[in-house]
Amino acid sequence: MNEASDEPQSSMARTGVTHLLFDYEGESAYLAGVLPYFRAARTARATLVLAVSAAHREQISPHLPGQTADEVVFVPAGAWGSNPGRFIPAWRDWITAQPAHRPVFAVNELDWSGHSAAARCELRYQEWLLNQAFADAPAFSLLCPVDRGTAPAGAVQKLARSHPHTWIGSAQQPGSAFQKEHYVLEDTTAEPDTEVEQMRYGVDDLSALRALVAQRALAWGVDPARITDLQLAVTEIATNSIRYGDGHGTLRIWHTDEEVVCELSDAGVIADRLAGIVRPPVEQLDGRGLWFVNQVCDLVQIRSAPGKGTRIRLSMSIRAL
Amino acid sequence: VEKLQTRISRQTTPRVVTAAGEIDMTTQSLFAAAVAEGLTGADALVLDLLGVEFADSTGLWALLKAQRDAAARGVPLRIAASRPVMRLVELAQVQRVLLVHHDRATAINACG
Repeated sequence: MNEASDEPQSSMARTGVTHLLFDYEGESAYLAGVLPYFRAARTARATLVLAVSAAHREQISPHLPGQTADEVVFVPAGAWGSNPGRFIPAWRDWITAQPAHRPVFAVNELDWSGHSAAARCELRYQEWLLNQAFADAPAFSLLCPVDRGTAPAGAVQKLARSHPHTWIGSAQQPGSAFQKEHYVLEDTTAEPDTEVEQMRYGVDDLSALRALVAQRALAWGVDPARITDLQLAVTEIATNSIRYGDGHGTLRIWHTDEEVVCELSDAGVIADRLAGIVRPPVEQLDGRGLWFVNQVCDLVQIRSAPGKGTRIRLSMSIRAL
Repeated sequence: VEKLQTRISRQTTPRVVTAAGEIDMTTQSLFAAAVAEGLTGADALVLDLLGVEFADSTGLWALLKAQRDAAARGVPLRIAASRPVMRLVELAQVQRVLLVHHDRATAINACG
């Protein structure tokens, strides 16, 4: 992987990410935790990159004394959209845009209630993958505040599996529940309780596959402007099936009230967990298939294991009428 | 009907390779061959892809390869891109290397 190649060269040590879960309850506890973090940033002569809610921005702004405009940068929290596969690329862009000679201290607030249970599961997995994605990055500290009073039930316990460190009071400590070696994804890919259409595909069926997907997605209410995007995503996964999964695969397609789901299964295995969440540099010719999939879909669920093959669900929301 | 039709206009300056239809793993080599043929001996090359209704990462691969080969020979390369082609360039954020235009005349004029 050369995922760090698009970052500015720096004399700073590539110490990687320090990824902290900050579990609090209530607004006064929030301030009591983030202010020491800001002081630590100042001591480290770091750039503060803040992806926080509008309310928190207002709350903390008076508490950033002595830090100049280029030392405190607000970025649009959640601007990466609905698909958690775009969360890590957003942070990469945000920190790459900062001056290379200073470390980055960042605050990462996520709108957990704004995502479906399946998307929250993928987002927690992306939080875990972030440790690997930034393992070789220049000094980067990421504080993830979660209000246990408003977060979905069990959120803090589940998130603890993704975070190597916790922020308690004004200091960092090892996260006791962190899953260092292997992250166990929750099962959020239950069988749909609706009619499912199935199509087996090989190299000669790509046009037919695209035609079927377009026809169904349009009929079920996907925005017509996004049909080509869905065809692109399905083609990329099917191409991988044909190239790396015995030459064929199976599409299953269905819809709920909220989304159209395309599930593609094949015998291949995706070994690189970071595939599709690191933007290939401009000079690279290939390796863009899964990147495109993550950019265009509203949710991507990849389940891949040796002996079991690969099963990928692509979701596209249905336009609100 | 073929999935992808290609045509090379040698009498024009710059030379124009026109492609229409779908570019995926089954037509990528056909597309790449037409581009390579158009590039051979060209002073400047325009790819007219306004009739491309679908293209995926294999199509983008062919475009980036064409750009690399053209640059190595000092041949200016411009692309008249359909919406699906434009979309790929945006998603991959390769606008810096692939010079795309919304119509053929602008692409031709841009070759100088």
